[in-house]
Amino acid sequence: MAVVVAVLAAPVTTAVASPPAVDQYTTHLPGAGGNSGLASSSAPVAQPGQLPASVRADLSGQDGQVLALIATAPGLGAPAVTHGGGEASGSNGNGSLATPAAVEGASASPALTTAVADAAGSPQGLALLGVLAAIGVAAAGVRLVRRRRSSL
Amino acid sequence: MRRATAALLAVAGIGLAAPAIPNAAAASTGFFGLSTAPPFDGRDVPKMRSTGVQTVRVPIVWASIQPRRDSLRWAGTDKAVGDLAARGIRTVPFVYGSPPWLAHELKRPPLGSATKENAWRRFLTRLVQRYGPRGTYWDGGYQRDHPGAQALPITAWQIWNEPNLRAFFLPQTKATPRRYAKLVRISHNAIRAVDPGARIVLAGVVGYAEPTAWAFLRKLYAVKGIKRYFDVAAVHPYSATIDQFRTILGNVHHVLATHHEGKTPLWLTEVGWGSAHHTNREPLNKGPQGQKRMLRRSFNLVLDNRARWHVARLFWFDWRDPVHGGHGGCNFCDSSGLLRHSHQPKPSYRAFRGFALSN
Repeated sequence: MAVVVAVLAAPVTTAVASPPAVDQYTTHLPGAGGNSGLASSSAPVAQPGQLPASVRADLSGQDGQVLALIATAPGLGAPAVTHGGGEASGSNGNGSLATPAAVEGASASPALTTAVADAAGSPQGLALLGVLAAIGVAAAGVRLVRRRRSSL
Repeated sequence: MRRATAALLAVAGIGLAAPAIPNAAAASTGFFGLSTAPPFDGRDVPKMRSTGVQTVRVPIVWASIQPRRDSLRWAGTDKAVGDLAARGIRTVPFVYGSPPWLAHELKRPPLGSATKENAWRRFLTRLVQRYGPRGTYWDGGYQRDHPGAQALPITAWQIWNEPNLRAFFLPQTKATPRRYAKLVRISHNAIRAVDPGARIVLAGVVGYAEPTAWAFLRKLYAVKGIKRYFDVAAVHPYSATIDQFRTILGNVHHVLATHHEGKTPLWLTEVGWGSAHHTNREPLNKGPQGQKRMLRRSFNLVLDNRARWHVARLFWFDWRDPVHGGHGGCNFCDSSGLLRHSHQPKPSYRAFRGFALSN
């Protein structure tokens, strides 16, 4: 930020950047008292259409919805999508879900892994993973109870 | 014998000419520094030194030094670097700002054509030849302006500023980290060609921006081979709360630890809050007492986690408030100084001095 004063003080009459219209240091701060790390106040929105059909088919049920949210919501760190062949699902049914690194030509992990890893780094992601774990435990409990009943 | 006597006299002469440094400052290890911008008036630098700081981070704006392709104006930079060095303060510059003959805006980095990239290489080379070890300035203008004063060459160069903000790096696209990586590689090679021992410091990335500091660094590390081209990572952990401050540093450290074995030093090249009245719309303004409180809490947090996060330097932004309205587009920057523009110390000044003198 110090550069603004330096530039104003310097005897340069051209090419001086105009001050940004908004305060870019606070625009993306989490809300007062919060610690969300989200870029905006809007809730993360899943975009399951970005996922390949085969992956979408596996994401059923409540935990599937949560996974889809983590994998595709930009607010939770999901990578931006570039569309190969005109639409997300592509002509062969496999969407082009590219990580930024892949777009830039560098090696990258699969998008879903990246998105989950990104999300896990944020408090929201941790909370969602906690919810997933709870769902898993509950499902295992229900299954156990059913087995015991059926064995009686 | 005559040579030895001459050498002794020379040493004595330097000792006599060197400015008196307060005893208390000798206890400082230089962990805390200041981030500010020249020009300094006659009271600034002596007072900075009395706080115990040994390094001050300043902008070197390419467009100011080389406003035309065929002219170089060093006077302003000579004065800032020289005045600081003469008081025992080493300059840590960040080099930024494309000149008008190469780009329409300062914040468009010199990338995309051989003309731009070569001009940047040449400018960096000239900078290091002037202010680096054995730099021409130290034997010339510096000795003329500060006779007998000890040279303090620049040994660390920060490349650009806040590349995850539109205010400093355009365009902002998914490719920005990769473009910044190219700027770092070009800069590294130019600087090291003149001074093989120079340290290359990444630009400070702003904690909560789009992308966040940690997301930006993660993408930077995805560029193959980039680790070879810098020695220090940097972050500007601007935050409304200490929890947010902690989150930024924890997340950034996590990225560094994952990709760089956690050994890369991390510099906090801008840490600051404003002393203006706090409002919800201006969450980085905390009032005078709040500014002091945030300074203390953040400094203590960093000191407590210094080894774990590999934090090697912390620079407070800013030293002295600008004339009102001096910082457009940044609502805490008008009041983030430790001193008011009139030089009147704020409560944060004493707190900073206490930390800087003992760390």
